[in-house]
Amino acid sequence: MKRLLAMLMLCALCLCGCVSRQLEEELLVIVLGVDADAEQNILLTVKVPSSAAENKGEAGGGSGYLLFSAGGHGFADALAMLRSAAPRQLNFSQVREIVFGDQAARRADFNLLLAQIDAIPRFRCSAAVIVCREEARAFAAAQKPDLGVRLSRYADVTLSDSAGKGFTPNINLCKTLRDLGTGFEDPLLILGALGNENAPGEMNPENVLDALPGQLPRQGASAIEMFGAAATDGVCVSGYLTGYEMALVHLAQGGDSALTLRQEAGVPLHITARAPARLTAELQRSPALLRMELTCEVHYPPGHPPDAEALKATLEGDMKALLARLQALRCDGMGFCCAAVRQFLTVREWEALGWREVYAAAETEIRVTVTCREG
Amino acid sequence: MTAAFPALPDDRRAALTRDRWLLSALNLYAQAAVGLSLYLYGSVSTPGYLSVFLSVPVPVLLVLLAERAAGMGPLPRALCLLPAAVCLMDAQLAFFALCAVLADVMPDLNLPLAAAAYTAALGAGLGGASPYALPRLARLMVFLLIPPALFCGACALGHGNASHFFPLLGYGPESILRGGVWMSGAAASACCPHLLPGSAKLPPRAALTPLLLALLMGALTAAVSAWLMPVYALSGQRTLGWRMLLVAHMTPSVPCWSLAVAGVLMLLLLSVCAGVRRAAAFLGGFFGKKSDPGWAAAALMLLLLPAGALQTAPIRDFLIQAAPWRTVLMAAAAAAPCLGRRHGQSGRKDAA
Amino acid sequence: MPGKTVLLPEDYQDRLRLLREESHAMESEDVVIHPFRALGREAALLYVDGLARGEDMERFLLLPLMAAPLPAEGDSLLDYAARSVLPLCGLTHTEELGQVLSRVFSGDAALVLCGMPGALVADVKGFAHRAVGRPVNESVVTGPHEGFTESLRDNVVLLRRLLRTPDLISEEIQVGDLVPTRLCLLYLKGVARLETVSEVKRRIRGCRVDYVSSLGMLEQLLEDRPFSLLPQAASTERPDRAVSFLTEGQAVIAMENAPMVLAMPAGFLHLYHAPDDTALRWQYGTFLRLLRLSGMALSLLLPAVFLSLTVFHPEGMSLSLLTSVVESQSRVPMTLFASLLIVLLIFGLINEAASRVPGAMGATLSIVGGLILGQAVVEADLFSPLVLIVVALSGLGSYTAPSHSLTLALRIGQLLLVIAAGLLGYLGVIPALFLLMLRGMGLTSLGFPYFAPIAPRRAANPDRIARLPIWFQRGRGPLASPQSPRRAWGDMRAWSKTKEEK
Repeated sequence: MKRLLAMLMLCALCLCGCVSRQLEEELLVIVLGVDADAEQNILLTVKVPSSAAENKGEAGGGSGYLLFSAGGHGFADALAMLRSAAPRQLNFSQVREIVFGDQAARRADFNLLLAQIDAIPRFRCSAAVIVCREEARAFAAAQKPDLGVRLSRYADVTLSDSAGKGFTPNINLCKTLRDLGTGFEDPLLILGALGNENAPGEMNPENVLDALPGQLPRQGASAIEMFGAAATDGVCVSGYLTGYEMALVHLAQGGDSALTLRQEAGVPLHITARAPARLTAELQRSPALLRMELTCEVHYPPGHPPDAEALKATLEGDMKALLARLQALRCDGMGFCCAAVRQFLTVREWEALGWREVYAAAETEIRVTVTCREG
Repeated sequence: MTAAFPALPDDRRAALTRDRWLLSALNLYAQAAVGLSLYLYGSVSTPGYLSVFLSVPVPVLLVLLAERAAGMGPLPRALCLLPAAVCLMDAQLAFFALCAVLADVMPDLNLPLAAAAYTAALGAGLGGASPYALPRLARLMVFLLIPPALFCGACALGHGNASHFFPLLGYGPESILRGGVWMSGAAASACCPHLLPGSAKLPPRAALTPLLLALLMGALTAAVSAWLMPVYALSGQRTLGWRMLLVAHMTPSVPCWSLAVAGVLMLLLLSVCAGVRRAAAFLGGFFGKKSDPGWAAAALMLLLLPAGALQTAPIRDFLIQAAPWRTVLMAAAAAAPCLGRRHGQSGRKDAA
Repeated sequence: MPGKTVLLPEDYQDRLRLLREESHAMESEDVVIHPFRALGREAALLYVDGLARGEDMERFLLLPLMAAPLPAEGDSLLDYAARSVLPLCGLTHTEELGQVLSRVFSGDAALVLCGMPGALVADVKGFAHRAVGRPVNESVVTGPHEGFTESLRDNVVLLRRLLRTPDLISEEIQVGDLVPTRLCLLYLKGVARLETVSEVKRRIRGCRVDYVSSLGMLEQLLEDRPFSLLPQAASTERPDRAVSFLTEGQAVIAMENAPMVLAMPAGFLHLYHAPDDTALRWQYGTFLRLLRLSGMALSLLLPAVFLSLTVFHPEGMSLSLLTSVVESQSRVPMTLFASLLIVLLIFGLINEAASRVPGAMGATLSIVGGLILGQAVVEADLFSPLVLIVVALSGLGSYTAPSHSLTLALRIGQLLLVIAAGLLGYLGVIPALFLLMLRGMGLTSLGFPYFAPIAPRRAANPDRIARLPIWFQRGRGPLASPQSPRRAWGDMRAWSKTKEEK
């Protein structure tokens, strides 16, 4: 009996059909780009390391990457075309970035696109979600690793560095799918753009980040710029936040990195938050009141103490403007929803509130406490 | 081999019994995990941990009832079919979930053939295994599974939000109650060591402590899932396999993925084997045999194959509907000897 | 040959004839029957030239007998010869032919005297044997450096020197129906369970074989599950390790011509613990044990996990490592699964050849193994260097196991897991590992659970996976007799409780 079972097991194992799989016969996709046009056609782009890169070790300038594109009427069509266009089987288990073009990100079925991407077998759900102001294909093509580092490592390091500094949100596919339309805060996606050599030469003297990617004067070696955020409204991308606005969001979330503002004489002030802002939502009144209380520490250079009251007023004013912008975009990027939902016991009660409308019409009150320290 | 049970020295019998309770506890945790993914996340969502807590009285009552029944002697032959059905149901649920996990980990796998291979391998393994092997393996598994579970839990901490627990009652107290009733089925087979031959009498605390700890782990698992996913997302459209590996999917940690897959597979394999082996033991009792022949366990494994291999929605729905009835069957098996004795006593009184 | 006992005839000539025939003295030139006259009558000495020491026979047998006066009238010849004439300690009298021949062919000399029934057997062994030296396969950094030899007597003496107690019982048993081989069963009375000792004796006596050539053969005849991968007895070349087995309640079997002893029952922990763990401080001992456990786990799992992740589950691996694998593997003409199996086979061949190669050619093997198989195959793109690294690491890990049998078991298990990984990746490795553990959990050694006291849990010293301080190890362990459960009473470091006198 044991021998019979062992023979059956051996035969079944051998018939499972997975013996001849070879990793080097697959293409590891590092970047996936999604573009859409006005006729609802989808264009998918993948960037993969080429075999030449494998031999050269992917050093120097990213010439060792190939770009494939294919289009179709819907996502499934486009994916099928892409697979047939690729010379080998595509392996999505190591995707680092999913880049959506502006039009694709603003589609009403943006959530469905994300779900379809997630449904690709073994798709890496911790891939970063980036919205590009131009076409995703161009963005993917322009991405090159610098300093001889592999593109995947370049993407990981760049994204984690900019998220750590507060320039971009820390967002990936699984968090986006979790929160977009189903969560209690609307996810902010990473915003990127191609560098523009004709960008205006003047910057906001008080804050250089008060711009969108692609608007900075071209001085960097990288062909792309990533800072700011793409706001979502529970369905798709509804607008963009500048780098400064994103930095304010980061400050309100209690991020580690400092926001830098300049005083009148150009003296920089480094502002950090001791803890995430305390958010409350008074829903009994009409319109509802959304309150934010933020405690900040300001570090100034020796001999140049700032005007604390003026700084407080600046921060409160900028936060209020940011909230108004988010309300206009119908994006609860700060997470007031999390504060509001705690006041309800059941989902039914929560749904009866109609949060989106309440949020969009709510008044806001910002209180910032500033402590100044030298050094 | 089990003919040696009556001749076991006291220390070996006590060790075997303690290991059986550990096996029951691990099986309970596995059933709770399967139940969470199969039913609770979809119907109850984030307050699933409350449903798990609500089901706590069930294993306590069943253990006390079974202890009383065991004190009256071996389980009557006719009644042995009831716990056999419960254990087989446990094994079927675990195998169904196991196949779902296989499909999630390797989507291009030929699932029917893989399920057949698993059935054959587990059947061959169980067929030749000593009756002491599974309980001892459960003890070893406790050491092997706890560190990965803690690691995965620690990885999950940085990717969730306390606000995901709200609204606290989710889809309402009715859904939580319904979930608690449903989840009680997972704890139905926990009292089996009292009913299996060869078990020693242990103080109730020695039996209940591992079971309650297992339920606590189940509640923690539900809480971690709620931490990671808000109510709408947790109850959204996801496959059983995806939900079983929820922590691995939601935490972008490479070692967490490997440990989660290994841990879930080991746990489900143990649950399948435990269910099948116990069902074989009870069936042996029904046919008047003192020991459970290994071939019976191997044959019972084949019964699990169709549902696991096909993974269709009607099968899943049937399993969801049938799962809570385990409590009723096991309660009947444990209560019948007590009621029968009481009836016999009152009959004698009447006659007197 | 099993069968009836044959007694020596009373008549001297018949006795001599029987001995000559049964010992094949006419055919074997080294079997000598030396006739002489002593005590006024005919006598003969039967011995095997080379096994018995000629000088001892001359000095302690022939000379005293030839020079002794005649016994008094009425005195028993046997008593007179044994007690008054022959100045030897190891004299035994027997009338059984089988015993006489067995002793003569073990190196004793048999004295046959006209008028004395049976034969007097004297211990005059003098065959060449290896002196006590260092153990060949179990060297340690700290601890004694003596090892067992092929002489049963010397081995028992080595144990007696370490355990100077009359409670160390050594019972002689013979195994082998055609050619009996002497065994010595040693145990500590009062510490070893009676059931253990009687079960070992029962099994030895129940062996129906013509000749037991080695201790390994005996082990296979005695173990509970001969088809299991894991060994169920612990063998050691070291007397100190054998003594630690004895003090834990195990029975130790020493065999003639075997430079090691066998301890039963033995579980996984007995094979996992190294001889010098106890000699080191507990911090070092624990560290080394954990290192050893990691090595064994690495040996069992690393190739299978590597194969699973790179071929079936690349999402479970970091991209940097994955890219290195792809880059190195892209130039290799065969699949990763095939190259892993072949390199494992080559590693096994090198191991096997290393143990067989004559000493003078050891350097050649190093050149072949290292340069040709290592460097050349990588430069020729026949195998990926990562595969070689994985196999080398796992091989190193297997050699951390103190027991050679356990090393081989790990390597076979490794191969099974690699095959499982090659078929289904993780989904093959995990159930294969599960089934191996299931089989292991049901394993016993002399009825004792193999993985006790871990599973099932038994009262034991805190000396299992980690080696906790020696002063916590007051108990003997689950193998010991219930009459002697403890090694120490009270605090082992009692001095630490009293104040230092000034």
